[in-house]
Amino acid sequence: MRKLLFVILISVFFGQKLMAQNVEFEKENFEFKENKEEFKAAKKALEAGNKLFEESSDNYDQALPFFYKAQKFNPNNALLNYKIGVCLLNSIYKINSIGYFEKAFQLDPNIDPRIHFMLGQGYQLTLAWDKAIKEYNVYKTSLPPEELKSVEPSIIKKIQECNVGKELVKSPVRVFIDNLGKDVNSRFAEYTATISADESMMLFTSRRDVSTGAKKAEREDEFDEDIFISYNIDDKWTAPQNIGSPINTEFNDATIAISSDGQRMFVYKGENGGDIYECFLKGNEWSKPERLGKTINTEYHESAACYSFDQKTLYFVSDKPQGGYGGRDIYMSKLVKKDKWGEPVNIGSVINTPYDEEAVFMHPDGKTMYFSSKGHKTMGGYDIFKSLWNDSTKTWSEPVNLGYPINTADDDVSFVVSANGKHGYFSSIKNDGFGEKDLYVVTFLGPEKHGILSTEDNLLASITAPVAEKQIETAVEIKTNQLTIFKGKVMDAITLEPVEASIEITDNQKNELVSTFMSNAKTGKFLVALPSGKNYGIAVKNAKYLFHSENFDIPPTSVYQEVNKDILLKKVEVGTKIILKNIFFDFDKATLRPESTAELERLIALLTEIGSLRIEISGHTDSRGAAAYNQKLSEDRSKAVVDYLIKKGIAASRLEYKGYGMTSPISTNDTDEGRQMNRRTEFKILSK
Amino acid sequence: MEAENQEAEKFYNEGVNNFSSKNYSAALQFFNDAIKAKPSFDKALFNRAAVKAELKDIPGAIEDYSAVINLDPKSSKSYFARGLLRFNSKESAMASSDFSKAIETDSANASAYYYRGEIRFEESKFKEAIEDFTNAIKFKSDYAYAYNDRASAKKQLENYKGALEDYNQALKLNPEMSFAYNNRGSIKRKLDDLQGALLDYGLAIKLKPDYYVAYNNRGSVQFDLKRYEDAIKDFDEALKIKSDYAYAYNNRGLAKHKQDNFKGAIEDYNKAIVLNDDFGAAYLNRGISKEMIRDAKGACADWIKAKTLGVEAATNYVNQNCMSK
Repeated sequence: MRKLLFVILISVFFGQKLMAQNVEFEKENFEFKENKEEFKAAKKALEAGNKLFEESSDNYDQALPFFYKAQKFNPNNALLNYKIGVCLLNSIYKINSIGYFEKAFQLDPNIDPRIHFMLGQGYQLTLAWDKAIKEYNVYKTSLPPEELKSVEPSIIKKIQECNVGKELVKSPVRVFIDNLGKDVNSRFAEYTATISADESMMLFTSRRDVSTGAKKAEREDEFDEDIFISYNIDDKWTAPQNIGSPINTEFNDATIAISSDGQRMFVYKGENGGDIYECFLKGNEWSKPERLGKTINTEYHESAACYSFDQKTLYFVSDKPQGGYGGRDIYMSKLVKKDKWGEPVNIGSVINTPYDEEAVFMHPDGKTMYFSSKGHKTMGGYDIFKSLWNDSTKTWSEPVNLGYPINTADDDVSFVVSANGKHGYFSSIKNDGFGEKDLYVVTFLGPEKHGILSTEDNLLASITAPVAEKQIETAVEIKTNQLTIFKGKVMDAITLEPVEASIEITDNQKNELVSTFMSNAKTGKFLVALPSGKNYGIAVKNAKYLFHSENFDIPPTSVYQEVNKDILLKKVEVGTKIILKNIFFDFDKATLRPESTAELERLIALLTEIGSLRIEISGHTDSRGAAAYNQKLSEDRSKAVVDYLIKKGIAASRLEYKGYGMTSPISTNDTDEGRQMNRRTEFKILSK
Repeated sequence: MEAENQEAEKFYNEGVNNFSSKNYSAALQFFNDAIKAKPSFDKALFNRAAVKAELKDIPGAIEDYSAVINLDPKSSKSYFARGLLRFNSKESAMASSDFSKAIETDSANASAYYYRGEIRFEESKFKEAIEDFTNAIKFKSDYAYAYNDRASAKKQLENYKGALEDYNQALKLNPEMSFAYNNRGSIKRKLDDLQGALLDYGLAIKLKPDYYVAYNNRGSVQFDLKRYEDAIKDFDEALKIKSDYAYAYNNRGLAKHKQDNFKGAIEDYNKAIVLNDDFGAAYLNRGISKEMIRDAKGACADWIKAKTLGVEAATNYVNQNCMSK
């Protein structure tokens, strides 16, 4: 009683600063008749909290409610404030720890030297870099040399992070960051969003109360992980649906990554130390997730994974100790045969550090990797970095921090970017959120766009009209994502029913198969990513139909484009015509270019398969040039194709050739595009 | 004969008197009479041309100068005077040929060099213009206008230091030329002497308080100095003087954008575009502000328009932002 009175008196005399003095949970400090029971309850809560606290750091979140109860009764106990701080710093509400640490230190400056390290982390999280550095330095000087030895590297790392943070915050990247809204986010946690390349669908993990294993949940605010799906309709994400069985089970089922076309995905299950599973979309049903083989999954923790644009390379994260640079590292594995991933290779020390690397994402442009790392130049926790693959030197570029405010001093992980490079998706806890982690979308604005001032001068003394100043702002080169997204539906040309077809992509220059994708059996939908810099031949095939060919000649500097085109497959009928878009001739000549090989081979395969087929190969020109000349050129060209086929063993009696010159245009001859369509080689079925 | 000559000269002298006292109609009559009395009276024809010019009868004036030239093909001053009328009527090619004739017949005709230089400047033949201005200065060393204009030609050729020297000389010869201060301000801005530019625009405004061009320029320098509030004040002044000054609206929009007042900026660009619907820069700028208020579609529409109006910077914005959904 006297002591308490003394405290009150001091506070009156010395003001607020000295008001707080450490008040132990001792009977004599609180012995009032009216609060006897409260004291007992508070002390009991404290003991319960302490027990959990001492047992394991995994219990911190459970200890907190007890500590809060005790704290409510006695807000001025240094150790209790310190412990609440520790629990909070290890929770998702890390920055709330600051107030408790400050108070603990105020009540008892000798509470524990580690308080400086933890307070430093709290300050770092609020971007108060100098205050954080100060605390880290105080911590450093407060330790005896032998103790300092073991912790000094981590103190130095923290100070480095603060210095990096200072620089990054000074020049923020120009982005909009928006919460995906209450239709998508809930009061429960949402995270690890993964999108199809065209942003038409998104899958993410959530711990909401409608999860498959919800019934067995021990806590009211956190249920088992389930995967949810949302679609982008008219630039708005639809209310997420639980993706259901067989993917979601009564255990944790979490998203890892979806392929660009949204037809296959990796999911995570906590079994065997954490493993990667894969499933496929068949029509509108997902197959049961199958664990990836032992070359990928080990007894250690395999977590993130993603597909390369051609789905022939798998990048994934493992903390297996063999072959790593420390902590979690990113590995890659090539597809050696159908469904078989080859021996993984660590992707090297340019990317992997002695610290953890996580959440690898390969952009559909085939060369940009996004990943999270606690190493490199991070401003705290995991930061998201970007690195570019140089295919000629076979090296990764020095990773670049995506910058503030995308990265914060907290953990920033699981960042995926749309094919057009305009949007990134990630999860975060922010003030405008709906509770726990929420999904956010980043809109990249690129470098600052400078406007143009308009000025003029009276340059000539005898002429009154002013002369406008030459506009001085010239174009600044803005790098855009260099790829083409080709998407659409494959349908029967007559019935317009969706068709499941294989989509073969060939590098015409190398005459090499890049990859084969399938259109969805139920919807006929397909999406392929074509990184700039190649002449792509695309053959859409289904055994019941004639193949359909498309050509995309995309120069290396081509900017992002999205081509939306439905493919109509035609049956083998007399009179059916197919345009062979991947047959190329030397300019103004009838010499077949080597890039035509893949298409010619497809034609040979068709004629071999259906031995009774008789076809006419026809050549067509645009309307430029003399009619007679065009007639001859088109005839020579169609003959060149027929000669090639004969040379390859197709009976001459099955082949006719004809030049139509400019007489059968399929488009206007007034535009470059139209003329290009008119210059073509076709085949027509004469009899089957 | 004697008496007739006297009569023509009497009329002529009366004409000169009336011309001096700006009684142009009377003067015209007297010169008519003089010429009637003596059709080959070259001085009377020359002066009647001047009277006709004052009375805005330009074709008549040209005709009279041509008559003098017919009588005296070496009349340098007639070529020059006819050239000047044609120059003012924007008949540049004929004016230029008159000035050339004036120079041919009097190689020291500084004014003829000067005006031919102006035409060459307007034809963007800056090197030839500089030659003419140099000759004008050669034959008239205190030719302040020629110094100003040579400076401007040097500026167009991006010889900013040379331009600065010439503007300095022009202002030394005639410190009352507000436009030369304005022009020197713009050169100093080019040379990154922003404080010097501010001072010069200030002097131009002092000499010519309604000099909206100088206000607009000074505002632009304030903008360069990131003093957006001051910039806006100058653009406001320019608009007070000239309420349809599209440039000042555009520039004020930019300053407002820098203050994160994107909607205010868009309002200004809207006004600039209403005043001049081919104003590429204003479209580009409006797109930049629209992007910030999350109107991505509007931004693209503006950048695409700016691109079609030949604004180079718009192409990248279109490529980066407007090629997909």
